[in-house]
Amino acid sequence: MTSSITVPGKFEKLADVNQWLEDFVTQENISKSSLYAMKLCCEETYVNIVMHSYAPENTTLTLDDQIIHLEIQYQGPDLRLMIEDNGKPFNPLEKNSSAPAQNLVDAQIGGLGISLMRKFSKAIYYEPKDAGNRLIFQFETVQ
Amino acid sequence: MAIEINYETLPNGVTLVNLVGTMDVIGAQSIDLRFSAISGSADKIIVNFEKVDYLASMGIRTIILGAKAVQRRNGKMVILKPNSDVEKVLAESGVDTLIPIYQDYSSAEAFVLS
Repeated sequence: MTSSITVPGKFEKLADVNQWLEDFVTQENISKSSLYAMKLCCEETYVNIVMHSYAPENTTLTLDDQIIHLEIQYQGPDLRLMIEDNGKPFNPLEKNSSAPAQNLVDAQIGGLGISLMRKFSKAIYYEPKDAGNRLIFQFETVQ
Repeated sequence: MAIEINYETLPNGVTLVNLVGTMDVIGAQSIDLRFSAISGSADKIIVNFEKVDYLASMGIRTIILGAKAVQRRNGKMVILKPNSDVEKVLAESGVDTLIPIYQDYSSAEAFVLS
């Protein structure tokens, strides 16, 4: 089973992506916990794309061209979620996850997204595109 | 669903902050200022997550910034009743070692008052 959606690269459009994910898991009878993992990985990637790949200082694309394309390929229980953008090349997997802080004084603000993506997915792959980035998540879903 | 925030200061000085809804990037941005204001003035804070259905890293950022502000004034903040998915996010991100998490109100209150 496959499904896809393309949205403008704006934070407020994340709601459309979440609705698309929710509709898919309902249709395929996938569990809420699996949905949570998918939404989490999706959001962390989405935020990176909007804040970095499509940051004004990093792109000359018009707003209309700043899109985010997502595809699901599902063959239960294996689910593959691909997220693509046309922005500045950025491989989040090359960024080292920071070790968890032991106290609030040392706690870093930010940098948690990549760590969470790794922990809530079975595997993550990055593929550069001619223009932009492609991140692929693998999940083992439950029903 | 967006996120709502409301709070009350109890007679014993504890500030109970109730969050309701989805703490995604939009939700976190929408309450950032208010949560920061509460954290900047109260020193015994229970953040009630019972009605939070989702939390991601931008929401964690909001909470940690607030907790840091409270700690700088030698105050205490705890998280109350996160659901299992939210608690997993808090644990996997290491927040549970920074901000105590309680599943019952009495224990949460006892900690912030101690």
